[in-house]
Amino acid sequence: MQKDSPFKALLECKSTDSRYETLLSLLEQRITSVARKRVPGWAVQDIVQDTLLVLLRKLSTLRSHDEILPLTFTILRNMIGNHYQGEKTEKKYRAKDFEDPAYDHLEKIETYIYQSEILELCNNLDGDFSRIVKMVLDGYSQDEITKEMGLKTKEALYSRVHRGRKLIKQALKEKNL
Amino acid sequence: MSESRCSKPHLHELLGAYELGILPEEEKISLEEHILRCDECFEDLYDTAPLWHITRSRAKRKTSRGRKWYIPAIAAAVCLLAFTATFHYLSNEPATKRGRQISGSSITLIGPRGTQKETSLSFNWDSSLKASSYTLLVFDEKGDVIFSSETAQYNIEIDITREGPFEQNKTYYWKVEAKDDNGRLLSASPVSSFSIEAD
Repeated sequence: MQKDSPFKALLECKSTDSRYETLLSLLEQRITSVARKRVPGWAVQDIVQDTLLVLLRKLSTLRSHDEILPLTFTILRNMIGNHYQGEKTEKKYRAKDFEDPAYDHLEKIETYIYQSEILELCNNLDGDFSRIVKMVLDGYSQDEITKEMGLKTKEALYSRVHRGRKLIKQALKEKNL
Repeated sequence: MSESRCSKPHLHELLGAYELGILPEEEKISLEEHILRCDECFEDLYDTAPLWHITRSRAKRKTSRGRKWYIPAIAAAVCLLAFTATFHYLSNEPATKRGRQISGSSITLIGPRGTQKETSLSFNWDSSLKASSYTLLVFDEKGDVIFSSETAQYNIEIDITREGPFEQNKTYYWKVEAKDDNGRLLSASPVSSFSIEAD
């Protein structure tokens, strides 16, 4: 029998369910690990708790469990950004702002700006990765991409994606995105 | 049980395919189970989250026929446009109060883009929507609205020495929202940006 995605379980389980608690605890550990490397120790717990709080509030609004991880990262990024922004000026987004429809509006603007820069990065990347991303954006399936690239196995495709991804990761770091 | 260094490199190599959404279901579930237990993989995904957002939000919904749908889809769109244009021509009616045709599409921002040297900014857009009014919104780098104005036209002129706290060497973002007679939002344009050059 095929197992379910853990994120699907997180979305569908009740908060009293023991699996829900286990999954949430795992997610908390991973978020803590990311936060620990990016903010001072005294701020870690606040950021983790705020991230989980906002995430849990937004869970019921998600259309699919596939949105859980990207949403977690968005919230965490904003919370970490808040921490540094808050040191300089007034906080960019406060926790309550996440409840405000205006927050979604701002988030969309920022995401759009993000996306424009990253798409430019992808376009400027020579070689297979840029081609693969374009095909993904055009709705090609894995089989179609593999065939179009003249590859014999899906593993060969994964390997090219992995190599291109490393370049993008480096470029994102250099651009501080 | 958690792992700070990934102990399953064969799964780590699947992260890219996972982000692009091209991983088969079974492999995807195994990887997700792993991500929740592996600090390195989780953090790796966090680092490239912006790329992930693009492929998730922009990728067209996959179908078994993929791009082969394009040709009939484009042909259908062209036929529909031709029909709409002919219909409006024959009925000799203004499609909107500006005499434009309705095609149900969105708003295209024309300018300003790039670096602006003049103190007068001309915001221009085009739209095929049947909108009663357009609201121009200009944001600063923090995302705060620094200027907004409503018009029934397709352009708004701003003298930056008088309007809004515009500063030199800063980037500003703008968008346009279309509203109907009752003030309901019909559509919003994507965001465009411009900067103001120093003297």
